[in-house]
Amino acid sequence: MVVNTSGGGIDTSTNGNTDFYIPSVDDGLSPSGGGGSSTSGGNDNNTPDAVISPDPFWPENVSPSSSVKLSLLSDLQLTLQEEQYLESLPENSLILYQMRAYLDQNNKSPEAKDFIKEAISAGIEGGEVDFEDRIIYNLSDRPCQDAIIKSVVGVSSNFTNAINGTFNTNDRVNLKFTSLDIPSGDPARTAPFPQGSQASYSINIQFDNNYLDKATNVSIASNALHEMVHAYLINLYITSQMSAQSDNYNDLLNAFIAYYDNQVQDTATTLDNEIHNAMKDFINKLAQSLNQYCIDNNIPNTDLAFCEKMIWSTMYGTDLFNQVLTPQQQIEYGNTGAIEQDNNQNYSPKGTACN
Amino acid sequence: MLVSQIVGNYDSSIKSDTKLCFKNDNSEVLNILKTFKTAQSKDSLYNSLGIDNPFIKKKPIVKEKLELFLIEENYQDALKQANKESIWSKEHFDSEYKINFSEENCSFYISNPIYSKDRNIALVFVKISNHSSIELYELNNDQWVFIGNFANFLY
Repeated sequence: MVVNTSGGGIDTSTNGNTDFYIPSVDDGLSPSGGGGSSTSGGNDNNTPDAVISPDPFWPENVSPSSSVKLSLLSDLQLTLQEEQYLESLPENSLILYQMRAYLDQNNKSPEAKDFIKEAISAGIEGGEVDFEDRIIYNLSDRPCQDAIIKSVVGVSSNFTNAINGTFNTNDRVNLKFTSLDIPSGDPARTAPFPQGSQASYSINIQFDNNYLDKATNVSIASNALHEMVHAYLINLYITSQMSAQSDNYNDLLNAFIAYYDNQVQDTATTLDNEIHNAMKDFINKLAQSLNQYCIDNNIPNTDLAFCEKMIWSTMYGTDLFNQVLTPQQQIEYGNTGAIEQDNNQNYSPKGTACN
Repeated sequence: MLVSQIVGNYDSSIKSDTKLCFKNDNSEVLNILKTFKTAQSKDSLYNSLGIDNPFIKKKPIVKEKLELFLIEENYQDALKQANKESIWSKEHFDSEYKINFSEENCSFYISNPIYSKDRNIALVFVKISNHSSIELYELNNDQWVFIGNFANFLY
């Protein structure tokens, strides 16, 4: 479930499962740290419970959401800005209960606390959090493009299932989508170094604002898939799973080691080449994912062959693109991508742009 | 990766010319400086920029020089000088990267440098092939010496 951290009411349209957390009286949510009065018996003097002086901070004295806010403030070491954000959330904000439940389901682990802080940071910036898949969407100023990326992440395919499996089964790693102006004119990029601690970290994918404004949904979906391969491979390296995945990744592993040790042009170029070489293994899976996205979103006149060209076009200019494809394919695939990237109406793009 | 042309059977006159070369632009560096100015936690920022990050060797020298850059309140000065300074020469980067840059078929993007107030430190956004970073240089005996980089990205 994706939760809009900007507030809003509790989503009552969800299934019968408890999507929000109702604090009980003995769950330690008292802001005073759970100390104070007890109503659970233990009264050896047979004195009526009613004569016990009520704790002034007893949760009965505050609304459920205030109690949850206080408990979050108690559990998390927040900055003033983060505290102010929590305080500013409306009484019926679902995000409060989502955060509380997430913390409790993960036994208030350091990883869970870090993720909640990430969620709060995203909320401050108007973003949204998918607590289930541990993905943060910070593209709230572009809701249409945001929906495209969520849709492609949500596609059921071998690759997207692997992506979701990576991020929702690993309580250390999160995926974050943001947008900004990328001066070089590239549509998207991925930070090679995760942000956070080794206990909990985010891999950040950034989209260019100008690109998002003009490109079609097919192009945005293609580039989102491309960047997710970067994120997937970075996570394989970070979690020391690269060798176990494939013997073909030995060169890539060495390139990661060299680059992480020293980020200079030589190591960057080698890593870039190896990552894009590794992407060759993903072309078919990515094309299938894109094709499924097109089917799910009723995009006409698309098929697997078209989607394969679109995926190849995201590798335009790389060694892999230049070495594997024939000169004619390079032109054809590059043009296929350019038409969708620029939403060039002279050549009838298959997708549609948001604006 | 940027798709930059429509050619072949298509009308080549409409191809989008998006060559990447030396640019009279320093928006990426300015954005980073703005972020520093508004950041609540510099530690978090250093973490996100890959300067003080648990996954790689820490870069104390970059942090130290960047702090100097920021203490000098260079930000306003940087705004004033934005797009007014001449870009560094192609030869400078040819020497630095041992790459013979071809401006005919650019596959790189080198921004305008932004200098510290004492003009001893410079920040430049550099993208070569599919990797970019902000590079920090220090003036030493009239030579700009590479100190380190941060804010790395893969494309």
